[in-house]
Amino acid sequence: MKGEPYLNILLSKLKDISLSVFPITLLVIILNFTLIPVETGVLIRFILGAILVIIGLGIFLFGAHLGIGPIGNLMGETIAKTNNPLLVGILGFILGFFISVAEPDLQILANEVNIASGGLISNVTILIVVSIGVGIMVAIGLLRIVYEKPLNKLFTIVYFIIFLLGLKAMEEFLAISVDASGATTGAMTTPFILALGYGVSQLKGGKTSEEDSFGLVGLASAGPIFAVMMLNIIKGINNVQGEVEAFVVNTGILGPYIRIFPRFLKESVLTLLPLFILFLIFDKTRFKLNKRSRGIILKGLLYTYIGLTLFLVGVNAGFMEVGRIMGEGLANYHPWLLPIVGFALGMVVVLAEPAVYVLTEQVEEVTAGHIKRKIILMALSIGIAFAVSMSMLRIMIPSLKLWHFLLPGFALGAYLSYRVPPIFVGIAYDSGGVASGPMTATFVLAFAQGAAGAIPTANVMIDGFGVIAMVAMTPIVAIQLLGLIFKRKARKEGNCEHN
Amino acid sequence: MNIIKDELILFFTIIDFGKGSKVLKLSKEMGAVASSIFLGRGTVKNELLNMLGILDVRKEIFLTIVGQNLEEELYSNLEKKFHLDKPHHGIAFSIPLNYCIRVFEDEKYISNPEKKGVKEVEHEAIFVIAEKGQSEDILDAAVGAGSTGGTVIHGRGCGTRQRETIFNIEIEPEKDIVLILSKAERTEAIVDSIKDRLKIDEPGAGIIFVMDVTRALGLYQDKSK
Repeated sequence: MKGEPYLNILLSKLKDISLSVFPITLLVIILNFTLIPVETGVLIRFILGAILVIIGLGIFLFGAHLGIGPIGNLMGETIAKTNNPLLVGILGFILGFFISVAEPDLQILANEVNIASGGLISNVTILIVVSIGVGIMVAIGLLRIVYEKPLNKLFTIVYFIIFLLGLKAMEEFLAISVDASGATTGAMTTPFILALGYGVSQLKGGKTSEEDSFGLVGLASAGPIFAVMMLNIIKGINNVQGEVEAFVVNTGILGPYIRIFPRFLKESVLTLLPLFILFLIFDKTRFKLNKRSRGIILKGLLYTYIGLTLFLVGVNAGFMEVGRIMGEGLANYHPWLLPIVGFALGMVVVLAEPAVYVLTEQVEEVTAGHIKRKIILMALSIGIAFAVSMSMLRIMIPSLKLWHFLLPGFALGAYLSYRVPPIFVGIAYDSGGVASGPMTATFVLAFAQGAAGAIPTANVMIDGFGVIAMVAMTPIVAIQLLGLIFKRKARKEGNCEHN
Repeated sequence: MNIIKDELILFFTIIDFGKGSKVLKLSKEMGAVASSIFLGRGTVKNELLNMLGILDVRKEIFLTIVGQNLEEELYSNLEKKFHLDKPHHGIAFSIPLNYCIRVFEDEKYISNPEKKGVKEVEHEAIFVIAEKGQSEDILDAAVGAGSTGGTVIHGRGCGTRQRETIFNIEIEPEKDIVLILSKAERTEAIVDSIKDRLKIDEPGAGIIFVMDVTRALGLYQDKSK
């Protein structure tokens, strides 16, 4: 009974992951040979990046399965077991706060906001305010599960308040705040928060435990939107300064990789550190795992670290640049193709998003395979395709504003949440946070900024950031529309009929 | 009630995650009475993989009820399409059923009307597959008729006719599978009680089947009863 058959397990995992990165790679290569030829060096770097992304994603997901997932579940169970609402709230807040405060994406964002506000808002203020926002929302999300409050009403309230704040905030800050939400729900936080909600709802049990397994990520990503808008209003900032960093042309093939490698080695440590410390504290005081289980979880965290680093290096050194060149090239030579290419890019880019994999797997797990991974993926693909495509239109047509899309989109999302089975509400809002992960945030953002930079009427600041906002919004509509179809079909069919 | 004399068997397949729906389709095409799938985990015995941290893999446990005349065909089809004859491709086994009730059609299949048993069975296992969310009603009805309780498994599938698809992927409705162990003399009452509780006029109301249990441990009844 040795050997080879078990290789199937590894091979099938590798196949799954290659299939999720392959479409985007292929699309870029096709674009290279048809519309926007890029330099050979750039293309080789891109392919190298794709390989790193596949390897990194594989190791990361594997590690998430062993490490972050179980930690989240265990913490969720522990929190639910306290049976004390006050404690649930406090622990939820602490977890949410510490996990977002260390997120490297958020630190980059804090820097950008600092510049945009002309130094009025310091980096530390942003970090702390956004993390408090996340902490509060995670606490609310956990308490919601305990008190069995319906998700659709909660989201309606949350987004209504955001809407009111949005009336007061500047358009630039509207974009930045939604971008902040994308930044905090990064590759590491999303799987953790997903598992946390799952753990709490599993332990609590009851009739709604299935639908309660989702929605926490969606709520957590609303926190930063609140926080940044509040900052804008309180500080009374009414003009945005600064420019997006100048784009440095990379030279050499391996050079860029070697240059950014140390940065991501460090960033990944920062992302993982709070989770690692929280795990050790919880383990000492609560879980009291045996040596073997603890070993597996720690091994999982190590894999996550390696995987995430490789993934981020691949995306940043290989993908970002190509994204920008494609955006620029299209805007210069075939501007009318921007929405179409954007549509295609959106369709494939979301497949390579790490947290998407984790979310879809959890959906299958929770529904015993009733809602299949593939179906969710297709809905997501279509959603993100529209997001990128519409963003391109917005960049091309100056009179189209970001809120022309966001307002109706979120309103439709809120309306649908009263029409679809509750589990789809949770999955939909979670998908919003999940889809705006590291892949979209670098590749699609670079594409949009490239295009905006080449179109004279566009503003790189607003138009660039707005893409993330769109990517966070469209899944809410797309997944709930899917839920509507599910509901229709389920009503039509007689389940156990006989021929 | 429409009584059909037909030898039925309960057919189990444990297979890698993702293949369950294919087996379900196969059994549907062959004319299974009812089918269901639930999720599980299987062991991995390989030092290299264990060292990497792969200790288990996702599995799907597929169960279907078919007439005995189809048993051989199902085995050979599984062998052909899923290569179960080779190691690590999954396992299949079958168990005879005492009887099976399809609630919607109000049909009862009786396997062995006169018990051939040399030994009188003391316990029987009752399985109920119904729409998701009905497990509480089912347990309630069972306890009301003298059962000590039951276990709920969350699964999907069943059905023989529906072909609803989204993006060309078939939707398999969610199910509650309830397992109840009961004293043989109480089985009839429990089954009747469950059958009455499940809405008979609706398609998809569910399916109940019973099989012999040769030994049981842990079933304690209130002494006052």
